[in-house]
Amino acid sequence: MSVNINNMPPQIQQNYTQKLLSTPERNCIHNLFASVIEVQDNDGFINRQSRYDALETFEVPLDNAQMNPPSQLLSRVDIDCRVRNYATYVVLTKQVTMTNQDPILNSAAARLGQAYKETSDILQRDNLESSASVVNCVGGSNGDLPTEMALSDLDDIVAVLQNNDGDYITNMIDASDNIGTSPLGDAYTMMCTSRMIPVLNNITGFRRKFEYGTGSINTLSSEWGGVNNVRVFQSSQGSVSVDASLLGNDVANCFITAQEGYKIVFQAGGRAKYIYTPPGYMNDPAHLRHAAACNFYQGQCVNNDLWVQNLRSTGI
Amino acid sequence: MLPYQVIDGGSFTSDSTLAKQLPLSDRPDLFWLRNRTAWGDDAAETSVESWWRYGMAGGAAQTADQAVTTGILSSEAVTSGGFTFIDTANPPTFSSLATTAITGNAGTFVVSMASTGDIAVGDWVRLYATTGELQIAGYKFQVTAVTANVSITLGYMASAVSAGGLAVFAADATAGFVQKYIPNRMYPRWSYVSMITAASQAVVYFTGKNDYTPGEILSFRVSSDFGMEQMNNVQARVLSVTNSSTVSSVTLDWDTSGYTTFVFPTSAVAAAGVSPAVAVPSSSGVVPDNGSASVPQIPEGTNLRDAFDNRNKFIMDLGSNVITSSDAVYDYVAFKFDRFNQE
Repeated sequence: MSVNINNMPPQIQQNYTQKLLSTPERNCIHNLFASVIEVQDNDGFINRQSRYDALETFEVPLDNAQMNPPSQLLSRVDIDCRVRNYATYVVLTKQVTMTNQDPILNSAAARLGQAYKETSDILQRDNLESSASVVNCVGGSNGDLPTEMALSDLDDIVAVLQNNDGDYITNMIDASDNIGTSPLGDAYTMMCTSRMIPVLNNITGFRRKFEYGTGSINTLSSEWGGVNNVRVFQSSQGSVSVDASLLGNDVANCFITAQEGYKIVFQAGGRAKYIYTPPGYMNDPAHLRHAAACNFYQGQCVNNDLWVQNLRSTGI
Repeated sequence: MLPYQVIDGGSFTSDSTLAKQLPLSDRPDLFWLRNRTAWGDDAAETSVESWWRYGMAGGAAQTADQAVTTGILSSEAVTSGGFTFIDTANPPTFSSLATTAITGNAGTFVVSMASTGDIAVGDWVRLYATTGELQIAGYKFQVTAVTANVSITLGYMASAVSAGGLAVFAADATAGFVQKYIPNRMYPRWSYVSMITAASQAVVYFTGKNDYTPGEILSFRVSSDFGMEQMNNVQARVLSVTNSSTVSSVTLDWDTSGYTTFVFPTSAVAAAGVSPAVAVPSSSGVVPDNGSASVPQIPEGTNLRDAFDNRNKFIMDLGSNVITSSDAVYDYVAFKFDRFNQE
């Protein structure tokens, strides 16, 4: 009879590979194009920025009487944004950190960092969903309202933003002599759910980012492509309104913004922090557990309602 | 050990709605409620005590009924009108319910439903596939009246007709679906516009209670499909706000006297593709004095109440199967376990 593992099992039957498996991390796209404001500490919790309205143009010449024309009224509006604070933490028994092979506090820190970034992104997403102008896609052919997104819908939004004097976010991508590439115009940026990918790929003239004149150099992994004057960024945590269409289908809220369309507000002393509390604190006289925590302060708001549009699409 | 076993507690006096929403600091693992007024008073009382634990369905509760005279308790389980935990940033979703008619032609907007589910007055609902009235398909409304398993009323829409002068629809809806939903509480929010009057100070009506404030500046998106396209992209200051049980409106510092009449597109036009008429929060302006367009409030200043804000909360929603008496004092405690075992 041969010796096999039935009669001679290994003394140690398990091994552990130190290289950790990947944790799924969502693309954080909604703060990419936000203007950033940092408010100083000890200065209240509502940030205010102001905008002066443009004066009327004056094309008619003065007549020979040289009378002063009536004065114009200079007006100003204020944009207020309240900063809130957020926190979460993980409690680990000392026994866990002493017995696990993996340095588990490192993973706790990484996961807290991920939770912070995704939370910050979701806050901005919900803000845009709440307060950006809504426009239904109507250029598609699926018989719903909104329809699935079509080129004409994106062109309409570009026209709206241009008509509202919104500045582009990115400059033109030049043409190149590489086969299969094309130029892309100055662009506004669109943030949407990953569920829009099939719809995007079906849009006439839509160019995946590998078709850019410069290739995908200097693009983010969240960028999917672009068409005419819109570049598209997608995330699995993009905004979706469930059952919200005319026929009861899910609606993707695709936020298209011009420069300074919206902002994120930080508190100087409240930037995201990782906080480690060793055993012996938090009513822990026997030194049995430690904690890893994260907190941050953030506000978010739309700066100019004319410069952020929520283009709603079905087909997802 | 972290001090997380009892996360909230307190008392409240019930009112005639037999409903209550209690803000909590987190999702509880166990929620306990007792009618202090009725406890031991020798009168019969349904649900004199009730509780909910994590994992129970929304609207469910386990309750104890008190017998008359003896005070003997008997156990009961309810599947609706109990406790529903709501994280408004990630609200639960609800099943759609069928409707057989919506009286948009009469202008009363009564939605006939064989089952009204657990829709209550004040809830928001979304309509879709409203055959014959597709101009309001996809719209969100707040419910102003419920006749259980007969109908719900979209009174804020009806007031756009009765108070605002909106033209009634050409026909009633003959079929469709109604879905209750809980809105996220990021503030401020855009709103569907149900009517804009042509007046020296325009009045804008909404499909449910609005949370705009005097001095706030609203921006409007009104396409030609809604008639009053002159309002498109107009940014106007709110002078006063109305939020009654059936009317939701704001009066604007904006003269629409010569504008085209606001009207909903026909069902067929809507089906062919339109964007809704909406009001979008824009910015803060000078706070007016009691609705006056020209006199500022004293001391003069601009609106701070309209600051963009995250107003999401954790809420325990209590229904009429656990709050069974009005004017009764209820005690409650919310627990979160340090260790939650489910074997």
